[in-house]
Amino acid sequence: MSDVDHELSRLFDATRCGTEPAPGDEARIRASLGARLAQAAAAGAIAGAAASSAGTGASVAAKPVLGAAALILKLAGGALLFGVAATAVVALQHSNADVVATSPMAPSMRSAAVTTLSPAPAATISRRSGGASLETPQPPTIVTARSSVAPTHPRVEPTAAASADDPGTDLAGELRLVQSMQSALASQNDAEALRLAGEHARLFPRGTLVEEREGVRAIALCHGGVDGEKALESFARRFPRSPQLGRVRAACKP
Amino acid sequence: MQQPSSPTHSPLARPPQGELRPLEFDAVYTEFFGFVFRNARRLGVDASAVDDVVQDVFVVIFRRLPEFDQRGDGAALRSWVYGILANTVREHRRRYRRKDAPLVSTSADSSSAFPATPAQSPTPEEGAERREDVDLLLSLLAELSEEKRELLVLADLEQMSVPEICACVGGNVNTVYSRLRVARDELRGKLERVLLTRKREELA
Repeated sequence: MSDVDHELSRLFDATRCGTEPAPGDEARIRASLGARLAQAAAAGAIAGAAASSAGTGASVAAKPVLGAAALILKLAGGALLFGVAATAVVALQHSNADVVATSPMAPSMRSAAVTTLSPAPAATISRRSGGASLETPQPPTIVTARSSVAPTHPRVEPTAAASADDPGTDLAGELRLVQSMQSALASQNDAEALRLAGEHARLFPRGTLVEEREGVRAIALCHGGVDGEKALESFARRFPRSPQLGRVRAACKP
Repeated sequence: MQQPSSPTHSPLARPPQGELRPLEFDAVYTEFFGFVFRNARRLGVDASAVDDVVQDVFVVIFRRLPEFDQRGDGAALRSWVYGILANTVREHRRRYRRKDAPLVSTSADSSSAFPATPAQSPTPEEGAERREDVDLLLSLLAELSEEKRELLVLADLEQMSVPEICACVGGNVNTVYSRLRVARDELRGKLERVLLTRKREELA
């Protein structure tokens, strides 16, 4: 073996060991990833609304479920143990898969599918000494209801239990409203999307899904051509790092 | 209530015949974190950016896991994860290029996409030599084409067999063998030049 080959072999050995993660790397990245997954799931839900009826198959129908999972994650209040929630997401998607696989819907109807998350999981959240964690002994109940082509959007009020403490924490109510907004947007009913965004703003001024609401509002305004540029500017200023910014920009492009 | 354990409890284990169990993201993360992390570095992502890239990879896995065809074995899952990693690294490189930064850093700036050469990287005394070795090899790999770099990373660092490499990057066994040989020759030539330069500097 020549000197060069020997040196190369030595460098490979050193690099094999030297590029392995350090002991703290996995935990550090896992902690950051929890927040990213929540954000990605919420963005996926918005994408389902912003996308036209060109979406295909299970991915469109799964997005509201991901949005629901984002709520589970957000409920933990920052320090996230994404593992449990991520498992819940897979379970939720799995439970929804039969509906999607066996009941092909017209794209517009797929977009209008409303998935609601029972508020029960909120009660299973507890804080431990090491930070917030999620306990999900039973998978949260998912009810998938398909609306008609012209969906109706029931008025959403905060549930009594949640509103008694703080209306801003009624995440199931928020989720229903945001999904109704998305359905309206997908059905090209921008006026209804704006009305629902206004309702969300009234009921949940400090809600968890304010960013999602404002994304829908900006897109709806831009579709209508009224104050579109202003809506884009306002959204970009308020949420400069939002994953929805690209979609809002695309909708507002002249 | 605790569920009775089964021999195939691991979500990554191949399920019994006829049973298809959904993969659990957490298990995939635990299984592949090391694989993704070390190969992100080896494919040219700077240490300062590796956290972001690893997260990007797992966000994609999280989104696409339900699409993964579970009928394959563990090697199929590894190839699938590698494909996502390679695409994410390519995207990272494209983004980096758009910022008009040099591919191989010319300073010790830790935010660069590729490691600085050893002489430019101030390193603590302990472990300095090993870090220099790592930096040297990664900087040489960074000078190769994407395809050659990938082959060398998979073959000589990840120590995959050629058929396993074929599953990751595509192509047939003979083609991969041939390209791997060319990649090794090129890397060897580059290292030879570095060693020659060092000898000249020592003599000067």
